[in-house]
Amino acid sequence: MEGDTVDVEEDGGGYTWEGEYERPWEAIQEDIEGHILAPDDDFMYKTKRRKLFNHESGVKLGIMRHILIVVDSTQSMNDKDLKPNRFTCTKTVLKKFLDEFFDFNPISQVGLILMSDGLSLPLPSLSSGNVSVHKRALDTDVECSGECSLQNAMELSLRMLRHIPTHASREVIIIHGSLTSCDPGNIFSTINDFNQQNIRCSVIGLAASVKLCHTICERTSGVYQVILDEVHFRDCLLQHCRPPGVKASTETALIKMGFPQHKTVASLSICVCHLDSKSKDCLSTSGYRCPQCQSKYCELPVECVTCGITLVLAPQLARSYHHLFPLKMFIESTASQVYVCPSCRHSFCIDCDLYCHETLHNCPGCENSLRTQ
Amino acid sequence: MATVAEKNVLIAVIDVSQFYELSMSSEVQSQVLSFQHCIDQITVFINSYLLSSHCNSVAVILCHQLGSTLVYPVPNQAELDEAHPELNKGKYEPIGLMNGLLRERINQFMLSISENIPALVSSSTLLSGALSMSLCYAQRCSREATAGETIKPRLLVIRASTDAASQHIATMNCIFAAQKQNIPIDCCALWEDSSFMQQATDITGGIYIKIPEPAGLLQFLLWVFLPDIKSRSSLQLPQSSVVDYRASCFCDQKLVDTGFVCSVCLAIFCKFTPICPVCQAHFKLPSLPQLKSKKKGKSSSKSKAKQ
Ligand SMILES: [Zn+2]
Ligand SMILES: [Zn+2]
Ligand SMILES: [Zn+2]
Ligand SMILES: [Zn+2]
Repeated sequence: MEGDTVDVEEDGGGYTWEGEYERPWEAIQEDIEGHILAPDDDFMYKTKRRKLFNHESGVKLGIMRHILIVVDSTQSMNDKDLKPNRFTCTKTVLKKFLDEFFDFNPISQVGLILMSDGLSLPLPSLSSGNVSVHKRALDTDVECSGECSLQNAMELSLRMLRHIPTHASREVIIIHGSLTSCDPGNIFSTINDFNQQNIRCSVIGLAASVKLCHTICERTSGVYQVILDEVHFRDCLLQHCRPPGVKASTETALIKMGFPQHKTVASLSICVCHLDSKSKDCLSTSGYRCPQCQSKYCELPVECVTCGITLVLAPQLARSYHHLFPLKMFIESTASQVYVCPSCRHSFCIDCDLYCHETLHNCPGCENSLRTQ
Repeated sequence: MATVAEKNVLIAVIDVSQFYELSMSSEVQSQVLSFQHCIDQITVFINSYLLSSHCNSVAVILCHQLGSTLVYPVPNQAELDEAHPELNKGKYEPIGLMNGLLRERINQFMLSISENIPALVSSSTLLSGALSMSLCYAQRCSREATAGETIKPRLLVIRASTDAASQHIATMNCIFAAQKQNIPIDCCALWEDSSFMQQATDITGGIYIKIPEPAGLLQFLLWVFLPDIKSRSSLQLPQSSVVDYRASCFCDQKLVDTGFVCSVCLAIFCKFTPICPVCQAHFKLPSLPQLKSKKKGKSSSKSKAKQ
């Protein structure tokens, strides 16, 4: 299973037609004994480093978004036009998306919904800001079968998003592999409900352009994209990482936020978020307490119903700090293949350079030198 | 088809800052863990880890106020391998050789820092540096893996000092990098609880324990941290109940329950500032006091009118 998944990230990272004309047979080198050596990675590295330079700065991070991702898991997702098949490829791309998404939208929440056999089911992870929970939910085995119903999925999303406070942005992204939709009623009334509730609905088509999807996106001011290949699929989905329409409405402000601690106490108490669900989940001994009014919640981030303060976990904010204090680009030294940190003058190989800038966002040299503070 | 082999890499990060002071002070009490005793215990643990499976390998990083050093494996491992070809074969004798090497390198490291005592006084252990280094090392292991070999790194931090707020961002960056790569960070705290490490273990799915009796370090190491990740689900391991998830503010790095957050860059402040020092965004004065003053003004004018 693991070996079959296509890691879109690893294969160079560009479209085929954007790359230079390739003569792979010329890149093969042999050593003295005639063994074939690994191909020269130089070109790949250069593209990667160029990408690092292109990273934009000045992202607006302070927006709470609630996104539901509806994933088609019908018969059509077994097609093998994406490698190894549409559904597995979607899972890989989704995981990449989740990683990136929470970097840009630290105080947001994502929910996953599966469409199959004409029904739609939320994955057990529900809405949460925890990446690993989602990834685990995605890894459970799902059988793709039946037909897809866009209306059922949209109705479910509507129910799930209705109670979200209006200042947060509500979005639905549908990953649609089928070309049909088998609906119980008039889907256009559902589209109107979306409009009324201010929910933005975008569709990523894996097969061909469908008029209905076009209409849905147009009326809810979403984006409709039909993918060309795996790389384009990833790009289309990753576009949704960036908060929509940030320039227009929001103005800069200092928002008061609470940082509650997770506490377990001896006595049972009721959490505020599950009050109306009538289930037994709301009684528990542990939870996050609002530092202002002591209301209890079981999931963060949330806006306190009682006193209105936004409650978050500090690590949720910390996830995006590397956008605030980006690591300086290492300078390529004249002796090639050596990259020097401008602050601490430590030199690194290209692999460490890429790792530090893409994943770690720290310079091990700087972190290991005594700070003058 | 090559067989898929799993190779475990345990990266042990040993915080030696407190030990140094202990080893310097002449009256070492019997119940306090001495440095040599501690290193011996850790060595026994590492030996047991290496002997428990032939796919296990180890790296040891010492961290201190002046930086971190990779003490094992040694940089010129290739030369060493030539001199002692039996070193990596997982036999009993090479373990002894490794132990000697480890002790020698650790003593060298302690000697080298003893020349810089004045610098030690005011600063704190560079944990973020040691974590960055460990992650780079883990990355190198996966890069150098042969085809068909999967590397499963994990980190074990033996923590002996308090957190420094100035390392907050860098440490969090390390934690998220580890989380993204599925590298669990475990922590064994010796004297004081470490909020950074509690968060690290919670986020990356590792184990955190603060041992009640530092002298019994080995017991805890063998009991909690020796089994591999897969066996953990079937063990009854200690649960840490309270994780301190409070934020530290950017202005004077206090831990805060409630704070002001810049809507542009999410920097946290403990009091209102008109201009964000991080991203230079301008803020309006807090709306609440303004409203109050307006209302007051209106009501006073109204009352005047009534009069
Ligand atoms: Zn409250
Ligand atoms: Zn390197
Ligand atoms: Zn540096
Ligand atoms: Zn700011």
